[in-house]
Amino acid sequence: MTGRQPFSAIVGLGFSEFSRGDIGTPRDLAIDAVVSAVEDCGLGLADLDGLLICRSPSAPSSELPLRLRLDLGLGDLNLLGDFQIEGASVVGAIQQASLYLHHGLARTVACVFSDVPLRPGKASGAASYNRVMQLSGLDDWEVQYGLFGAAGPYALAAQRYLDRFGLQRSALGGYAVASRRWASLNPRAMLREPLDLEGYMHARSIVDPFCMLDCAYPVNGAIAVILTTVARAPDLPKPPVYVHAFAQGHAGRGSFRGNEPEIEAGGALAAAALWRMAGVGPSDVQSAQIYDAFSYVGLQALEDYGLCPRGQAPDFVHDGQTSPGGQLPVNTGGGHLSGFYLQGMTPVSEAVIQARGEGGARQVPRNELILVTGSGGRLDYHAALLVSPRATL
Amino acid sequence: MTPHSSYTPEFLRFVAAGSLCYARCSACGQVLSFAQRLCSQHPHAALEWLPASGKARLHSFAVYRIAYGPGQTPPYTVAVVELEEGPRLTSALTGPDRLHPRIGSALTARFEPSGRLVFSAVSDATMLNPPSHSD
Repeated sequence: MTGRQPFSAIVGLGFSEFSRGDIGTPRDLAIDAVVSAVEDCGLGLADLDGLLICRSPSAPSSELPLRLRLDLGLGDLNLLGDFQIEGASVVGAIQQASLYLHHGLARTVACVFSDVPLRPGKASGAASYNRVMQLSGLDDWEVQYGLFGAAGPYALAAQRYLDRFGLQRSALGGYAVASRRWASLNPRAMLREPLDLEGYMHARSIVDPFCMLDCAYPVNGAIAVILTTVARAPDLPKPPVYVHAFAQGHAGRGSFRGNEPEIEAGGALAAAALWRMAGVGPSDVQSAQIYDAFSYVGLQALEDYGLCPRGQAPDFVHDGQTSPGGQLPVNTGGGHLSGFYLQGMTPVSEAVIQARGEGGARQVPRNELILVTGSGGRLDYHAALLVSPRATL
Repeated sequence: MTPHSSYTPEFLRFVAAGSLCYARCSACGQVLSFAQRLCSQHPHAALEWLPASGKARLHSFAVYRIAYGPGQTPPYTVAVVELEEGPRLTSALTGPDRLHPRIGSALTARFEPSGRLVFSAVSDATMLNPPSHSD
């Protein structure tokens, strides 16, 4: 442990309403979330001097314009941006804000993510996320093969993993079951009814090896966090959540003989940098809040971060190690599968709740070092944080 | 130097002529992945396009069970195939075993009458590569 000062503190957390129905535009919901977050930390909108806006890569930037600052009536800003590294955006934005705060370039920064994937005529995840991902690198090549949505590209990754370690589709099911156990304890989670492995195996197939319970549960909503300097944080009403370390990792390998981008992804690069920066290791992590838009992404991250050995995440999770009462609570709000899919804000908001000790029935017993990850593309982009309620690790 | 914007059109021109090609660096001979637009060691060198053998191995596959978008009737199999020459490519898997393929199995390329490039297991292949593939 380094004893070094943290970079910043998360002091405010705000939610819009969540719904599968029409509750407003992304811009409406972003405004709700920022106002709620500012009120949560006992500040006013006039106290903000930074705003970083994050959106889904499938949503146009015009839906969440930089003019959001004017909507909110903000004053002169020292930091502003539309921060885009796909699913890693929110964690990346918190990193950017933390650097500004650490160097005295900003004083109080809001980071907001807002998304309205479910609209009239697009009432399902498949209808909302049917863009064709460019997997090979040849422009628009995948369209003729019907590689629609994110589920297909991630299913290709999961299938490669299952084959390499001699596993069946059921190996993914334990992850969905563990997510649901946590979600049942989270009033904000969208899917809370009990789920067992048998129920998982009977769920509708989407893209083998994925059934619908392997896929994120989309919701319309927004979440914002407020960050400020380490010096100012203790004066605010909510317990500060200190940002101690951060890193990114974007594996620079095209798909070519000899590499395994489906199994060894940027998370492993980020992990190495994160441990180096914080002077800690995987065994020091007490809880993990992982970007898990698909079951396999969660399992893969557990392995990339060395929280369990390569190839063993399905057993680790199936044995209950990540479930309520387990040694390493993971995605304690239900994550993307059973909680809600608001991309990077799902793990970030849950980390803040747990670090503050506001988890209620799902509060983890040990919250002093929480790993938070963000992941985008098809395991192409990755960013991570280490947060703690303690000012020194 | 090959402009970024001409890479995919170049590849597609070969496909339209019934040939599966890959690019390599004219300076060092390194074969590029299909995501690259230049050799990072020789960014000014021209790319050479060479015909692939059409032999490949199944790297991974995903079987679509629902219709996400137009033009495909489920179930259908999207495959990532590893060409004998090294680069991997997204394609369709056809043939009797297309819904239950084995990762690592030997595949061979062919062009459907529509001109679409697809792969099938070697034992399933009804049409071998046109000779132009190995010219």
